[in-house]
Amino acid sequence: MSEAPARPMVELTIDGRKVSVPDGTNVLEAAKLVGIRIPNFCYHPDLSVEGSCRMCLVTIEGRPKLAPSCSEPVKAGMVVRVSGQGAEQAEDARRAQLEFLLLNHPLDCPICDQAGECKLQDYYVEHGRYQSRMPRGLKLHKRKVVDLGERIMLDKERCVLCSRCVRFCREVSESYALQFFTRGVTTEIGTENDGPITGDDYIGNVVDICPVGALTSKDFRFKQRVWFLKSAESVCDHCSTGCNLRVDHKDGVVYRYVPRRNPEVNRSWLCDAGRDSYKLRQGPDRLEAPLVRAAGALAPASWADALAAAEAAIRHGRGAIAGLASPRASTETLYAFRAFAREALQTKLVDYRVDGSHEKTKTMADKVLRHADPHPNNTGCDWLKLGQAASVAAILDACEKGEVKTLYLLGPELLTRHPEPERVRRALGRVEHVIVHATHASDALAPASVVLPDVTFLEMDGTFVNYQGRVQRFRRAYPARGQASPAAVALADLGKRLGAAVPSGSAEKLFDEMSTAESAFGGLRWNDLGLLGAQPGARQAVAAGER
Amino acid sequence: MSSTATEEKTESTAAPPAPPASKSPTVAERYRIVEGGPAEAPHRTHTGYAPADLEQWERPSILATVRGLVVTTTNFMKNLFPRNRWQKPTISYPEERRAYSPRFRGIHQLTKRPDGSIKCVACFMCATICPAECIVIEAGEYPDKRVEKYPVRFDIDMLRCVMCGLCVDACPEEAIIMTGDYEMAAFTRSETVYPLSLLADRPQLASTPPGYRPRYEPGPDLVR
Repeated sequence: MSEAPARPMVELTIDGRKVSVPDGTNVLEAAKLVGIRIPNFCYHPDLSVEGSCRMCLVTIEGRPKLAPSCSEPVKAGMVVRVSGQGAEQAEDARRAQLEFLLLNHPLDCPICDQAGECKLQDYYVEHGRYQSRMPRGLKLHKRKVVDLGERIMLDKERCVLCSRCVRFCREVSESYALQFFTRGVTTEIGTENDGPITGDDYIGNVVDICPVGALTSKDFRFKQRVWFLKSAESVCDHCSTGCNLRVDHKDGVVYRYVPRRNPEVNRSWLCDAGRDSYKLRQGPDRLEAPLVRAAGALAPASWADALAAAEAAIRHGRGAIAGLASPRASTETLYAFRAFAREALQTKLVDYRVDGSHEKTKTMADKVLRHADPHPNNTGCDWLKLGQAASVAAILDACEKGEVKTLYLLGPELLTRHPEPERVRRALGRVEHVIVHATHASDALAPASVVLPDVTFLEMDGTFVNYQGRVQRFRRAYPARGQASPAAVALADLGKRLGAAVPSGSAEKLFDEMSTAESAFGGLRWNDLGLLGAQPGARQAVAAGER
Repeated sequence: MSSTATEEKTESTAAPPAPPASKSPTVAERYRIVEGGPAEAPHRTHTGYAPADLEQWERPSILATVRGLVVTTTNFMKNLFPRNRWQKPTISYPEERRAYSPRFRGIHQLTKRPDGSIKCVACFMCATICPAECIVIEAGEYPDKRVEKYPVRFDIDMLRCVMCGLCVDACPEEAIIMTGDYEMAAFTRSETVYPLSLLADRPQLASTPPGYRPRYEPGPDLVR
């Protein structure tokens, strides 16, 4: 949006308020800019314009007929009336249209997952059409609870035939999975023979764009009512795309990811794998206390004991230490780790390129959003020059030669994701101490002598740098589980014990410090990042767009 | 009374002039509260009032003791030999029970459909409106597609519940009503969390009328 070539600006009046927008914008978007929300079902900023719901009708002065604002491009001097004096005709038309849409709509709100974020429900309350004029028992019933495969549940009765999902399957995911069937009042959406949807990795988005409860998520189905959920603006950590999303959670449990619109990154979409990735960040195997090797096995210990054990291991290995950063860590944590490696570990054997994913950061994995790099912050590691002094291969070689006594891992990637596990095992066999930060317990952590429980990105503030070099903030959704503590805090504590200066403080402080020190960040400030992130060079953060 | 007024006049010279003697003194004037009050208060009692401020009949004396004993004895005799049942203040609970209003807000009950299935569709309206946040619901998929949703779990924490009846007001299905039952004593805390099974099936309630249910008149539609 902001990068588009400059189009001439057009000035028009909407409900008595003057607004200046680029030529070609539609009236609905222009009204949004001055805070006037025109009701709509079928319009979606990232899909083609259909104009089928007729809920966005407005009065345009000098025209005998009402115009659908979603498909009406602005013209200079246009005078638009949405509500109030002069717009009685449009208001009447919208109210009548809403009554038509509600004619056969079932009274499902109490059991409908969409209730609370349903456009039909909102407009119904807004327009006050409380009494149905449809005689009892005459409602047309369609099929309910139609199972459309792994992700989607369809309720044909609730559909308002806005065709958002049909257009999504045609224009974005190109699976053509959902279609209209039959005609007239019996028109309904569905798949061929109501069969399951397969081969569409983005089908979860139709749930988000469905303005009513016709398409609901099977994963979220009946789990929570939406008004109980709290939200945090975050970023997906499932690949290097860094799709903007909203984490909906309650009592420390994430119930769903919902995409946040960012025209520069993910538009309004989220892939199904990313949508499901919240499950990977939770689970019963979360580490809640530090583990220290005692009598040959890892046993829970206090933070003081774990830090003492780590300090002893580092002092023991002085001069023969290597460190590995993690492309899953936040940029601020990586910055603290770089200083920690230099000042506390006093080693140049530092790298992050454990699994070769850094080469695929900019490789698309499909045609829509996904990238082949499964980590969110390889670019951040690269910007911090974490892989300049050494390489993973060199570190493993040194380990095998017995030149490394203590290995410090900021994440468990070396133990879980290295392409040659046999070589890693051989190398670790000759290392005396392995200190690792991990969020989840697993058998792969067995070689470690100290395991420090890390928080997931959902439990901390920070930034990731995506494949474009866009710095994007994620916000803490809920407090850390158990005794888990952000790696940056543990690094600072350990640094203090070792008498080394490791930067510490809030993510904001660390980011601003890092941005001043590191030219790759182009002098970006934390406050520039906003909701949609920012790229060095383009310093102004784009204003938040509507979903 | 007159002595109090004169005392106040002499004691607090800096204080605003006392009200005219004809006007009856306010409570604050009669019972001069000495806590944090003037330092010249004679002495303090545990009630915070200085005995000097009390009326004659209020002061501790043998007469007051006798007067108190008269009241006690009178009431004791009244209770021992009540002239009618209204004079008796106690009942022999649990053999005797008081009659409560048909709108009494006792322990909740989950009602059923004629086929015996639970009426609740797990819409969470009661849990949403509950000011004590004592209702915990987990929803599940009901085999009948016209019903779609039902509670797999429905717990009410009776220790948290304030018996306000808002859940009954909020219910769109009349699936939750209140009963006349108010006996919820238990030996452990976990027993006070009433699960779905207990809320839906309490045979002892079959003989008692339902309690608070504002929507409908009691009728044959209510399956309990």
